[in-house]
Formats: sequence, C-alpha cells, structure tokens
Amino acid sequence: MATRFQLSIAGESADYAAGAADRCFARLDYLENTLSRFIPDSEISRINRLTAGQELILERETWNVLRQAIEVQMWTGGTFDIGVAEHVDIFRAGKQGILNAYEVERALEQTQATKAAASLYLDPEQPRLYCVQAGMRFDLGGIGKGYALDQLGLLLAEMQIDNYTISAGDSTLLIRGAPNTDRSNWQFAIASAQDRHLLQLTDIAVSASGTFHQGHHIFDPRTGRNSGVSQYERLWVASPIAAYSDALSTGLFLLQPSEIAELVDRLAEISWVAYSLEGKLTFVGPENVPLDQQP
Amino acid sequence: MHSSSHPNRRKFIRTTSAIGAGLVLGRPLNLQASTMSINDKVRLGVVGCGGRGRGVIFSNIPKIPSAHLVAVCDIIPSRREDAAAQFKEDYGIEVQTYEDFYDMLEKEELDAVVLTTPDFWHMQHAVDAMEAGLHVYCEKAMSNNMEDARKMAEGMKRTGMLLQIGRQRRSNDRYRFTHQVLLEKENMFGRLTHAIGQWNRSRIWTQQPNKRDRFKIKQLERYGFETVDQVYNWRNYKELGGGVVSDLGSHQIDIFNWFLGAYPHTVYATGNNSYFKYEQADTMATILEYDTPKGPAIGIYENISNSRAIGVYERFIGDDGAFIISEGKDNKIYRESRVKAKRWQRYIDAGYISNLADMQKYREEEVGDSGIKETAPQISYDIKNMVDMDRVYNLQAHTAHLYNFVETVRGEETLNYDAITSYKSEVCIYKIHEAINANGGRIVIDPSEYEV
Repeated sequence: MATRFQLSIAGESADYAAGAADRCFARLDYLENTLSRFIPDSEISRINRLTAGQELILERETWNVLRQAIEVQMWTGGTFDIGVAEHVDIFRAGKQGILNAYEVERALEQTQATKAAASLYLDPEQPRLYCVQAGMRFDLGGIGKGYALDQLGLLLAEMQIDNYTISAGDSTLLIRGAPNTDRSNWQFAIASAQDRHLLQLTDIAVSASGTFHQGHHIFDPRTGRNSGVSQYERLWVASPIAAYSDALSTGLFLLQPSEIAELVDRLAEISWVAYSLEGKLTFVGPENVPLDQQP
Repeated sequence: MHSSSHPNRRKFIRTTSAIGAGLVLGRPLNLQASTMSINDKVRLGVVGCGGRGRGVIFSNIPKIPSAHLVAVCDIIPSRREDAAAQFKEDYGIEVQTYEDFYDMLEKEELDAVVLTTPDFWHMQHAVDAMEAGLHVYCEKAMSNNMEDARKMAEGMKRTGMLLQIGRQRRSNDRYRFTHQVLLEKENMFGRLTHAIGQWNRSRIWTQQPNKRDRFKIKQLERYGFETVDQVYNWRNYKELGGGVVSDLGSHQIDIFNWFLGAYPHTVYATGNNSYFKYEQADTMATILEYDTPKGPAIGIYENISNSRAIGVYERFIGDDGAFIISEGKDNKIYRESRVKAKRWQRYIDAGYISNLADMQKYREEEVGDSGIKETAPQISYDIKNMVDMDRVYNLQAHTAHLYNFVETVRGEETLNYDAITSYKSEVCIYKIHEAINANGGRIVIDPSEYEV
C-alpha cells in the first residue's frame, strides 16, 4: 500500500503484543497481494483484466471493500470513485514524459468515454463480480488503507486485544479502547493554521485528506480531469468504520459545506467531520466530537 | 469447470441491456446459476487449520465450484472448531471436525485430502491416504528429508493415486505463460545463462498461541511435538521442518529448474543461524551449476531474514533479454540492446507484451513520438495478454493449483506439479540443506539421484 503502518498495543505482554503485530503485518501483506492493482496476481488486477461476459468469484475481503466503495460513490455523487485506474496511469505517463500534454488530454477524453460505457455488476448476495462491458479499471488507493485497518481490527479482536491504535500513513487512524487503565480514551490533535484541538478518541476511525502535500488541482472522477478545486486546506472524517472514513475523506473534499452537513446529518456511518477553511477549523456534527473543549 | 468460462453462465452478456451502468450492486439480467450437482464434486478433507490451512478453506475451496469441503482436522481444538464455524457462517455448509487424521479417514467418505501440516507429518499422512485410495494435495515441502520425499513419490507411482505438491507458482498464469509462450514457443530471451533469486524478510516470524488455544503436553507428544512452541514454530526445528531453503528457497529454485529445463549437477551452499539463533539457519546463499539443453547456466540464490527491503523475486538473464518475475510487484522484461526493437515488435503485435506501461496506444502514431519534453523513462516491457497457451485460470495461484488438482481428480486436467516432478526439485534442496548443516560445502549430484 506504499505507506507506513504503525501499531500501538496497550495492556498486553510484550511477547503477545509482538506476536499480534507479526500477524497484523502478515495480514497486511495478504491484503496488499489481494487488493493492490500494482500486483499483477492480485484479485483487483484480475478484475481489471476481465473481458465482456466473464465473471469472477471474489475473496470476501474484495467483495466487502467493493460494496463499501459503491456505497461511498453513491453517497458522494461520484466524487469518490474507484474506477479511475486508467486515468491515474495517464497522468503518470504525462509526468514521466511518455505522453505529451496533447496526448494526455485526448487519452483522458477517450478513457472517460470508455468508462462511461462500462458495466460491472457486483453480486449483492454472494462474492461474485460480472463484467458485462469492460472499460473501467479499479484503483483502491482511496479506500484500501482504511479497509486494511478494519481487517486488522478484526484480527486483533480474534486475539482478544481491545486497546490499540493503528495508523496507515498517518492519514487514517483506527482507535480502540484506551492506552491504560487510568484513561478512557486516546488523545490526538488536529490542527489548522490558526486552530488546534485535542481530541479524546476511542472506538473510532479518523481519516484526513488535504491539499497541503499535493497542491490545489484535484482529480474529479465526475469529469475525469484535474478540474476539482477544493476550498478546504484539510478535511477530517470520523466513522466507526475506517474504510468509510478513508473513502469519505477523499469524497467529501470536493463537496460544499452544505452538502457535507447534509451527509453528516443523514449518514450513521459519519460520526463527525472537521475541515480547515482559510486557516480556521470547523466541526460538523459537533455533538459527536470528543473535544477537550467544544468549538 | 471454472465458472468464468462456463457457457451457461455467459448468457448474461447477451441478455443484459444496461450497457454503461458503471460499477453497480446487482446481478445482470437472466443470469443462470451453476448447475453442478453435489455428486459431481470432489469431497475434500483439509488437515491442518493454521495459516495455510485457513487459506485453503476460505480462499481456495470456495472459488472452486467442483470442490466440496467435508471435514477439517487439527490437533488444536479452537483452530478446527473456528474454521468449521466460520465456514458454516460464510457458506451455510456443515463441516465435520476431527483431531485425528486417521479417525477422519475412517469416518468420512472422502475423495481427497489436502495436507497443510508441518513437513515432518507429510510422508506418513500422504502415503497412508494414497494406500487408502484417496488422492492427495500436499503443501510443500514434501518432507524435511530426502528419504521421506522419495517414499511419497514412490507411493504415488505404486498406488496410481494423484499426489500434487503445493508449489503454486507452477499454476500461476504468468509463470506458465512465461514458460509456455515466451521461453518454449518464442525463445524470446535466447539461451538463459543465469537465474538469480532472493526471498528477503525482516525477521523470522514466530507465532504465539492464541489465548483461546488449550493444550495438554501428553496430547502434543502423541503427534510428535515436545513443546507448545514446536506446534506453532515447527519451521525453526530441524526434526520438524526443512529450514529456510526448504520453506522459501524451494519455491524459487524450482522455478530455476523449470525455466532452465534442467536440474543442477553441483551445488555450493553455506548458511548460519547467527541472526536469530534458532536451530535452523536464518541466512543462506547457494550457487547451482546446470547443464541446460542450450548450454551451461548458473543459479544464484540467497535468503535474508533481517531485511525485506529488496523483496522476493526471480531474475533470468539470457542472450537476447532478461526478465524479473515475482508474485509481488517486481515484474519486468528487458530487451538486450543487440536485439532489434523490430524483432520484439512482433511480441507486442501478438499482444504478449506491452511497453511504455501500456500507454503507447495513446501516442500520436503519425508523429512517431511524443515530442521534445522531459527525459523519458527506460524502456521495459510487461506481460500483457496471456494468450496462445493451453489454459488461463485467472485465479490466484494457490487457488489455481488446488483447482488443477481437483479437476484432475475429476478427469478434466492433468496435474501441473506431481510428486515425481517435485521430488526432482527437492533433491537439490536437500543437498543445499545438507551443505548448510555441514557449515558450507560443495556437493555433486549424480543424475541418477533425481530419478524415482
């Protein structure tokens, strides 16, 4: 997943925690080998090679994450979309000098049209995917890390470990229990240029997305171009499920504040949202925000 | 038969009108369900419900329409009970559980067993199952010693039952395509002169028992274990496992042998356990000398247990080109500069390989290039369409390998990797292990030692 994972376990013996960590990292390797489109034997790569009329029996993990991706795509009206691997490759080819600017534009146009004609059906009752019309390749970059954290959470629950935090590249965090018996939650900070808040967190996932590291031109799956302009410097989404917090932190970034407020109000999957706008932090759904002080 | 090519499942393309639906949750119109009867399926018992066993139960078997899981067996109660309970929850199928392998054989009507147990148990279970008229899929390595591995190959010959060994790269579509089409049919790389492989890990993974696992030492002794640690970390003990060259190296050295079309006549090897201090070596290196049908070749293999930075891969160097292949991210093909691009263009035209990250299709053909701009990346090639080969599984390699076994039991395929082929590769593995255990050495292998 081309990022760093960090696991902190509290209240267990060092040996048991180390054994659990080993199992977690082995599980990450498995998930990477299943969900990464950059591994030609992965299930996502095999999906990406399907031609019209073919179907594939999926791993439960793949089935689950694809269902979640479809949900987030629908909630966000398409600002989150996993069917954009070809677009990403075209941008990369442009940066690498394989394609010139003119060719990049024509390639994006063609790819967006091919994607619009594609039809892939994910069976709601059993782990199968049917390719009626090819033309869309998946990239789980926007949801895979969060999904991986949820899977590690299941593994740790199986090992009866209840107090931990796991971070995926510092951008998604899954938090369970507390660091010790004196406290009931873990403490994390979120900050903008002018504000900083300490959050008291337990049994929640939080993901961040921002333009600080990537510039202001944002890929918008609805147009297939880098046409998106976000007003937020950074945005955080909290959810009981890390796959949702991860995907929504990308998907909400291109939405207006009013649209975000409507989703927070409507979806039980979003606990709260925070964003940095012109240097100031704004919280949406603040009754759920476990702040040291309410904003 | 795998459903992706099953004719009655293909009707959905002709009857579904919703072209341009995108990715949606739903089923295509008029989709017909698979009609395979339970009586046509191969009845399987899985022995060992640890990491690999769970992979067989939950990742491999459910993707094989002709496989039917009947029973699971493990000496750890929570492992076997958890596996059966989860399978019932996921697939609604009741699976019987056993502590004892022979008890399972006696009580269940099985067609085949899948052995995912420690190496030292493989021979006895495999031979006894074949003598009882069952086919066997056995995880590699065949054993932790050459004598037992030989007994397995001989057992397969004697009984006429099937015995497939779990070196799954042998059923990996890309490895099979490389062997069948790029090497054998096209001779794309000329004479292969070097094979280089590595399997690099950050540490030797040791497991702790789950809190729910319960043992009695007397019970463990009955199954050949003296301590709880031996149950979970049997690979670290010389009496129970074959060491890193067997656990990891044998996958890759087997690929050397397969792609070079030969087995080494001489091995040089050394290793030590200086890093983790377990019984088995944690660091090893070996050089293998081959006489291939096209000329001499050298194999170089190493196993590192203190850094995973460089990953896991096999590289092959030939007169006309080179390639790196792996089950991970490292996969590239390179043309030697003395070979004209025009010659390799036919491989691109045939759809076997692509260059420029498969982006050449977007380039303006009439211009011929993409203008004067940033420095372009090094030209390399990737496998594109796996065509002109006997079959493409489009399954994860472990699933494909078990699928091939199950379909061979049904009479639909032949084994991709039977015990006799595996034994030949394991001979040189045991010789390497022998040299490592002797603190390094050179061993000449007589060709007759490879024969069964």
